[in-house]
Amino acid sequence: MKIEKTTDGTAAMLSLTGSLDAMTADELGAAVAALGKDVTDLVLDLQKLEYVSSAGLRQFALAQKAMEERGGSFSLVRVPAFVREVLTMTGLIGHMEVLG
Amino acid sequence: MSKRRMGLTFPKILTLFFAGLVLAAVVYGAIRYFVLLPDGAGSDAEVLHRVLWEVVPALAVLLIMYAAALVFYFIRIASSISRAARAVEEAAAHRQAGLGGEWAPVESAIQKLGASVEQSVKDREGAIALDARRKAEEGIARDMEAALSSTSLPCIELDFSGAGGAERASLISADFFDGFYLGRRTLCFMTADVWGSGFAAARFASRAKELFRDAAHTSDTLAEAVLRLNQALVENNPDRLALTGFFAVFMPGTGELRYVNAGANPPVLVGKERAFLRVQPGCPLGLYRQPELTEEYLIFKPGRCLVTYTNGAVEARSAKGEAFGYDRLFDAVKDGWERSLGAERIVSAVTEAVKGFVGGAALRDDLAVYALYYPNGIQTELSPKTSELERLRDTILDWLKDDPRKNKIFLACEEIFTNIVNHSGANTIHLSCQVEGNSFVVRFTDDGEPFNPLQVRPEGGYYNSNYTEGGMGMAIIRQIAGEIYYRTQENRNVLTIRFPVIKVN
Repeated sequence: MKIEKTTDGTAAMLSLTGSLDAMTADELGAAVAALGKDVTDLVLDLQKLEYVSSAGLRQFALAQKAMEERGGSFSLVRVPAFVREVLTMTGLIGHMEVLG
Repeated sequence: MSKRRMGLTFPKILTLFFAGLVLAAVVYGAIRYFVLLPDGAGSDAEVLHRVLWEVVPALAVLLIMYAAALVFYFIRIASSISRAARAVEEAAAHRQAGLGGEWAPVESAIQKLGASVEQSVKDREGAIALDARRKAEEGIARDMEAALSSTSLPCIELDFSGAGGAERASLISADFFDGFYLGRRTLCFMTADVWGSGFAAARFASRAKELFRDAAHTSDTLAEAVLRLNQALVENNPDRLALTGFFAVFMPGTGELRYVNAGANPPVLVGKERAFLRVQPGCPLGLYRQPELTEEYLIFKPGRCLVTYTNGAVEARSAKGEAFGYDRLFDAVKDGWERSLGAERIVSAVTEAVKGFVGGAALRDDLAVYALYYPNGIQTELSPKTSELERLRDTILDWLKDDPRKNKIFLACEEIFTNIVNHSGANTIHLSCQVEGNSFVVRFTDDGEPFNPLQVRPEGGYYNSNYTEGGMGMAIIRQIAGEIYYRTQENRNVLTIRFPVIKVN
């Protein structure tokens, strides 16, 4: 999996490419941790994310918790159909801000 | 309005007339009684007496005349009927002789009329008799058909399946198939074609089917079973019938396919390539006490199907007179093999292809088909490491090829695999992927702690839990899989997931 990072003050966007599975989920966890405590608003751009499993969703939820604890926001943008379906299967879609 | 519609016949007119006279007599009597009375010509009883003496004799005479007229009328009718009958008889007797002269055209017309009446009566009687016979035959045919076909259910196992089908050219089929278990997971099957048609052939077929089942269950080898069938047929064969057939036993445990050919067409094998099964020419059954028959065997590798069939399949002819032939048979089997997932579908691919080819024309011969479907499964060992996911992905995606849901099926497999890796403490994980019936079936077997992932239910729902439990994964698995089973077998966890196949045409 490839992760591209864009930051603007307290806002950050991570663009994910490839597969977010049990093997690669920790990379997303590490990338979110590497943003530092100053980032409070995180956007994940999923346009090029081909696959996600529960391990990846777990990282989404952990990052969301971290942003909320900092009083910030967490959102998913450009969510492909497959990812959206997995979010729906687990019910997570109702707990996350999904933009497009 | 015609007389006929009024329904007025001579006796009715007569009766009406008589009734009118009786009425007139009564009226006359009444008038006389009341006219005489005021003259004071005696007492009332006396007047009545006088009136009755005037009226009753006249009525009596009328009644006698009425009865006589009726009797005369009916005697006339009876005699005219018997005269007519005699005339018909005479006409029939003299029909051959004929009459010359000016009466000839009349005579010939009468003859023609008589003949056509006689013919139409005969036709009608014939039609009634034929109808009754047809009904009786249909009933018997249905019974026979039921006896022949009802007991051969498809045999569907996890790794192979067997099924048969038949099409008949007439009411009663003389071709038949059978497939049954000989002990656990050993499939015995056959197709046969009885020489001849009609009831005798159908009875022979039904007996042969029963006899072979018995013989197969009580013989040590397939050849012995077929020889015993032959013996029984030879000993009781009043109609001098015979059958050609192919008999086989498949043991998936060893992969052995044993078979005896008794004069049948060589079965076809379809997998990556198409070929005929190599068979020795064998002797038809029911003819000789010591037929030349050979029991042959081969190791039947998975990834193929074998289809045995009777003549009617390859010899079916289209309206143009063209034969169905072997190429079309191979095409149909290949089509069934590639598009469908099971013996039943392959059988229906063949029978449908034959029917489609024949089109509007009727089948000229019965046909019976039996398919043994033995698909290629994938087996692999995985280490209980997350990094093995890559190999799992390659295996699953390669196996599912173009199935539109391959990513979802892999997702469910990943969830199961990570569950096992995280929870069971297993040393090895065995993966088997197979197509069974209408499902993709994935089976994970591991040697870890007994662990049933189906019972994972985090307190308060997984969103509020710490996300490390397998709850979210199980939610995914449950929604993608058609069915999930967990069992322990020889100290191993066995988790089987079935994914119903979506057919893509």
